[in-house]
Amino acid sequence: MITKSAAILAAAMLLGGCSTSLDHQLQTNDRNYEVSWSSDPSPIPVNDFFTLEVEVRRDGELLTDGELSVDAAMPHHNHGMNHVPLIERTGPGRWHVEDMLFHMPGYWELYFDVRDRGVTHRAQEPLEVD
Amino acid sequence: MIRPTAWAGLLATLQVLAPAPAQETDSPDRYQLDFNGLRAPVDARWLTDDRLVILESAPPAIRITDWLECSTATDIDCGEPAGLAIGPDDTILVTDAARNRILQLAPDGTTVRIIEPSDGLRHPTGIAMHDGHLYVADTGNDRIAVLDLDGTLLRSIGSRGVAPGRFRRPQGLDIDAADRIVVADTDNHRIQTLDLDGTPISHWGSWGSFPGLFQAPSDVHCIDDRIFVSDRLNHRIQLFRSDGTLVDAWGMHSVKPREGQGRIHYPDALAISPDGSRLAVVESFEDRIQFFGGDYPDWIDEETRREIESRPTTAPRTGIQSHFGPTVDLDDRIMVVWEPEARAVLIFDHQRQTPIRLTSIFSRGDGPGGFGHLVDLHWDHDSNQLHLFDRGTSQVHVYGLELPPADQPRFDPSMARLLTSRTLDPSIPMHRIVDAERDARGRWYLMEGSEGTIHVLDADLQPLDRWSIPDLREPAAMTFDPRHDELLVLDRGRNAVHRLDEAGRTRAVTAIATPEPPVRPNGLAVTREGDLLISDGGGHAVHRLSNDGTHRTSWGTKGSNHEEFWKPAGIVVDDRDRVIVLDHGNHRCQMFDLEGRWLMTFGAGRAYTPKNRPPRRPEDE
Repeated sequence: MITKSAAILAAAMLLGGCSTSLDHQLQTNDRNYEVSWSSDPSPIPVNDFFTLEVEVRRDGELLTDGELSVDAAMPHHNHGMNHVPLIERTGPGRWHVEDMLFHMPGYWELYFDVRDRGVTHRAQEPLEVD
Repeated sequence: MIRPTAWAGLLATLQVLAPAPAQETDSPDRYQLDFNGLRAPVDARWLTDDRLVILESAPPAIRITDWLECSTATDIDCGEPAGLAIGPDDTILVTDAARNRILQLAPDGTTVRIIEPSDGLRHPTGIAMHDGHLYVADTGNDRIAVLDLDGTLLRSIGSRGVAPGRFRRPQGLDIDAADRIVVADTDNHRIQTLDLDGTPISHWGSWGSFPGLFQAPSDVHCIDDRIFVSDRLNHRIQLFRSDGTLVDAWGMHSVKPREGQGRIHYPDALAISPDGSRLAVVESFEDRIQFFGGDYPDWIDEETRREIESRPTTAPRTGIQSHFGPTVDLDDRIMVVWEPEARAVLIFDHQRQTPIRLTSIFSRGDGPGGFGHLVDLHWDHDSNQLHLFDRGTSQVHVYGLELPPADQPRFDPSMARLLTSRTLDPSIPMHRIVDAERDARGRWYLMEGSEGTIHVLDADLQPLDRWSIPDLREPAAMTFDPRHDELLVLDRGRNAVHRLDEAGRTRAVTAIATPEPPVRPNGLAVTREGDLLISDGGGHAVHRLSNDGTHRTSWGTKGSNHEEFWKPAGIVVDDRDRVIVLDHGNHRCQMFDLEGRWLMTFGAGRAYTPKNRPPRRPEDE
């Protein structure tokens, strides 16, 4: 699911000279960071492992420091994933995430938590998985 | 000494229930009886002659029971009794969490010695004595302090953290048969064992409700190869072998407060009898101690015993997870309540006749956005942002809410979005903060619980100033009085309200001049006209005072019916002069007008008004 605001964000990033090959573009909820991501396979399957590629930018530039955490939850059911994802930094502002698994169909929220200069900022993607 | 039958309301109810099916373990999980009508007991320990010493907190007192023959309570000179230990020759040692010291008492309650370590304690709670040394859970310093009886600090074990050997607000400890220190590492939701020098040996548990997990374990007691843990927010006792193997778990209250008879509600402390057969579970919240295991007392004759054992009921091991309180904030539309058992923040729209829950924010673990022990919530109706001040993880979390239109309230579990989580400047000990407030200029005020210190922060939570308030003895709550541009601080130790100007100078100290002095003031609010509203957790009442402290009215008595309270905590008033009181012990909110007339009672999933009273229960007829 690509939201209208994400599409606008992607257009803004292209106009601003940023480029990413990743499918989805988000802003953190406080609008201070841009998060791009794509999954393999795509779309995300039910009850099968998938991986993520993630990029994080601040003011259009890849984040040179900072940390990323990735998690997901089904807020209607008040539970998360059964697996703890493995996250590996692959370069400035880039991460590869493994061991992601959505074990149930339904509404999920995918969380990207960017830790930078002592503050955690969250970007989140609503996903309907079936 | 008086017989229990003559206690006449002091130990008002003595109830006996059938035992659970025989266990093949050595777990004393068979409910036997309970003492009711105690005065907020916080700890208990057996003397060598099989008498039980009970430490009470409201007012501070000790009471010595001889298996249902009980002396009257003896008042002691203690600010906030928190922990109890029995030394050689039945020496009684009490930690005073408010005055940061240890009292050595004679059995008649007189103070024999005051132990005030030069390297100061901060909110000491659990205490044990071993080989002439005192082992103290120095909760506010996140460490174990080892002292001699002169107060000399021999060792300081641990500091704040999650690694083995570190602690987050440890509250209970004991020394086991293998000379290990066993610690209830409360905000880390685990048990740790260390050798007497402080070297970590083992730890087990994390946050959760499955057997073997913990929610804020508050006390441990060891005997032979057994470790008993009061698992406070799971409302149960857990028993482990010394290697951490789970043996048994029991107790959770199943339907509502006040049940007893084996159903445990917020166990604070526990004590095992010297022969290891009988367990006393201390429930300050219920003014009660329940006893499990052991032989029946002599006064139960054979016929009564047969009748007891013929009853089919067994102590439940599972129960509700729906509680309510103790922290609340609101504006003219939104009310926010912290529910610690579920690690959830509940958000209501209270504009209608009965409140409608809009969403819940659940904390999942200690990851980003996860919260553990909230001391304050602050809702900002201009920005639709919610600040959560988390003593458990020492962070401040900010959530943004996309509220539905006011005329279309609806529940949406994904309505709240985490904006940021941040660790405050190191100069601010977030883990010792007890309340937070914000003024009209956007400045934040964070108050330390045992120091009389208020940290002033800018709108971005960066430090601006630090105030040391003179003569502030036991700060409990704050609120801002916009009419007089004053920050008001409730001082539980002095039963007074300090009025501070914008520079932190004390303009006045207003005594809480109620006809009966408040027993344990918990919450503070101010009306549009400047009147003070104070919830009295020990007196089970709400007091309304004029701005100069003159008593206007009080309402409430101890109980569970509407218009009654059980240890009320947070209190707020909305722009329609409706007073909302978190009736914490009854797991509900109650709403009143300024004269104390009851308007509504509501909890998670139910609401009652004068037009919609609940059906009377048979026991009320």
